[in-house]
Amino acid sequence: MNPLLSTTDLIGAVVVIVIATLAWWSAHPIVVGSARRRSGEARARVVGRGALDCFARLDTLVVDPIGSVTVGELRVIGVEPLDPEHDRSLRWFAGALQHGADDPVARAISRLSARGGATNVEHLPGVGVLGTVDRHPVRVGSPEWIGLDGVPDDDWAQTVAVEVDGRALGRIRVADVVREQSAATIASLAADGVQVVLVAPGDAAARHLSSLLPGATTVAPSERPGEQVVDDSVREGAGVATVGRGRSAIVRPVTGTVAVSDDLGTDVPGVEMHDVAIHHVATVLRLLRSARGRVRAMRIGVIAVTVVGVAGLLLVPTGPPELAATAATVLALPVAVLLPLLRWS
Amino acid sequence: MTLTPAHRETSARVAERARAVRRNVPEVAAAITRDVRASIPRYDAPGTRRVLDEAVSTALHRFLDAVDGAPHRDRGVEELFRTLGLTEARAGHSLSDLRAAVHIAVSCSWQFLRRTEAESGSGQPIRSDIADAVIAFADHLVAEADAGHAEGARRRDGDSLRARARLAESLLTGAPTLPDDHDAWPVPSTVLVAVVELPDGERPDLSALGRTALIVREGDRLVILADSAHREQVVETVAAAGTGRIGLATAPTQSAVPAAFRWGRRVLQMVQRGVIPEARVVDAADHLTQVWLHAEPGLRQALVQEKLKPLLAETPNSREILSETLLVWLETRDSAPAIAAHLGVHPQTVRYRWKRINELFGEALREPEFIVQITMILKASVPLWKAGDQSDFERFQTSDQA
Repeated sequence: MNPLLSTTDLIGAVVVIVIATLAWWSAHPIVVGSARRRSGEARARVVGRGALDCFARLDTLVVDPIGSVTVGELRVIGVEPLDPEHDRSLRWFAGALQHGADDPVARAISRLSARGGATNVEHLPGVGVLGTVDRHPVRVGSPEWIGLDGVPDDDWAQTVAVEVDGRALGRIRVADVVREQSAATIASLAADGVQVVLVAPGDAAARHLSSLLPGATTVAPSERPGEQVVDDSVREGAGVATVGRGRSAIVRPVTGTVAVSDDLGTDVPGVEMHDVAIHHVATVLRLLRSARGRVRAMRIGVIAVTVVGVAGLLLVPTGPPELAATAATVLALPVAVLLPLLRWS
Repeated sequence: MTLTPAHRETSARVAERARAVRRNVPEVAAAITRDVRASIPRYDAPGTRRVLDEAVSTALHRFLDAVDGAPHRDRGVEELFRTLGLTEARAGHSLSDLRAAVHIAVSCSWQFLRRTEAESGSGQPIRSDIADAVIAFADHLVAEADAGHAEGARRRDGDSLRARARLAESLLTGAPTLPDDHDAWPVPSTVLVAVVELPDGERPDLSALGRTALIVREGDRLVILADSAHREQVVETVAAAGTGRIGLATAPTQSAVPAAFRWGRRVLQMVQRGVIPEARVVDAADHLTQVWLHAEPGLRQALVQEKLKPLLAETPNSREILSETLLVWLETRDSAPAIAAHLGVHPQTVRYRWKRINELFGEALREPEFIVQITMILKASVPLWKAGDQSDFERFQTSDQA
């Protein structure tokens, strides 16, 4: 009499189960790797085993705006010559002198002009920079130092005054400007069901951000500190991700949240990105929010193929049909793994 | 002249013959002077004829005085022949004509003595004694003339140096020159004036220039006047002598030499003041505009104070760069990028400076007369200011405070 399971059946079933097990465990890394490739220039890297679960139920982003919704560095937002005819001279002399300096304000002002002509550049910390440009003595620094009244500096913008040949030429205002994609990105995230909460570094920045980005909720530090915003959101049952550059001092992840950063460290689950500009973050989050479901779909597919394959082994006649059933099952497993990745963007 | 003892031994007969022929001296002198004039035309000149007559007559009497044994007054014949030699030297002549004249005189005298001896029929052999005496006397006269000629040559050299110095002084100051001085140095049609600095008062060896150039010392400088055709030779010789800077100027006429002298000195002064770039040889022809603009320093200073007052009120750095930019614009009327390239600055720097210049001078920059004036003033003054001359600004500050 024939035994219930032939040797070929046993071997085929073992092969199918082993390969199915490998496929089961590879589902997660395949999704993470695929997400990295699909994130493009953001080059997202998911860190932590529970990160995908957190992203799956994400509905709130607590964002440090510096470098995410803003460009993350100072830019010139206003040039105010005392005499309108000196507008270009003001830009030229200040820019040329600041090419010789290396601080955020200098980098911003140096974009106003080409390099050249600056000599004897001297930095006076906390005051400004002085030197000569094409043999003209030039000073760029605090308005008090130059002897001009100025709009007081705040946590969002700074004002420097410019003097050439001992005569004040005017003022230049610099600030960290909001990225042009930020407003549309925040609106699209809201449409996807993700609320964006901006934790401003100061009250002036909060006013500025709330006026430019009405789609986001802006919190001033005088209202609630960043940590409290995260805690409150978690307590309310929200799926929270913090977004910020490096180990942001404004927003810090807590237990049960994930972080989006360009420097996650080793103990924080989340996604590490090359650039945390808000539009890149939105792209990556859109991928990661559906990643958990795709892992699950992969594993269901693997189980289904395995069950069908093993059942087939038992039903088909011994001999070559068993081998064919085993081969078909093994070939079907990768298809079951890769199928959920189709049309994922 | 004194005759030797040997002469005196034969003096009895010789003296007798001498006394006999003394009455024929006018006749012999006439024959001698006639032959001399015939042989040497220069001695036939009206002024020379009387001197020749006197010299021959005096020499004949002096010869007879010496041989007749009687005491005689000094006729001054030695002094006369020394003077003749001196005169020949000062006139630049050699003694060959005088020697030839003495030779003719000896020859005529000898012919006369032979003729009178034959006519007397004495038959005494005195001819060789007389011959010795005549030849000795002629040698004596020629020796006196030689001494005079040597003295004359020495005096002539001294006179030449004085004449050259006098001529140089006259040429450099524009004073009238003496015709005789032109013999010392023929003034060329185009005169090169080289003013040479002498560091530490040294005395360079310029003998290679010889007598082709007039060289005079003026304080711590040498002034060399030469034919402009010898320019290269003069420059090479002076430079090789290890002198300081050389200022050159060329005078197209003799009357232009004082001006050329001024230009030569002025270019050296301007090199010292930094107006003209440093160079060993500075030719005024290359810097005529600057020489012209700096010809009247007081006038330049007054115009600076009057026309550039807004600029003088600026800080030293500002007025230097603004005046430099304004001058380039006045000279070229180029665009800001072109002026910027010329000055080595950014075009926006030039636009800034131009706006500042307009603030300082306003509508005056649209007046052609003003533009011409400040162009000349700045062309003269900017090199001075860049070389560190602060006198204009100090003068402005003084008058401003007053």
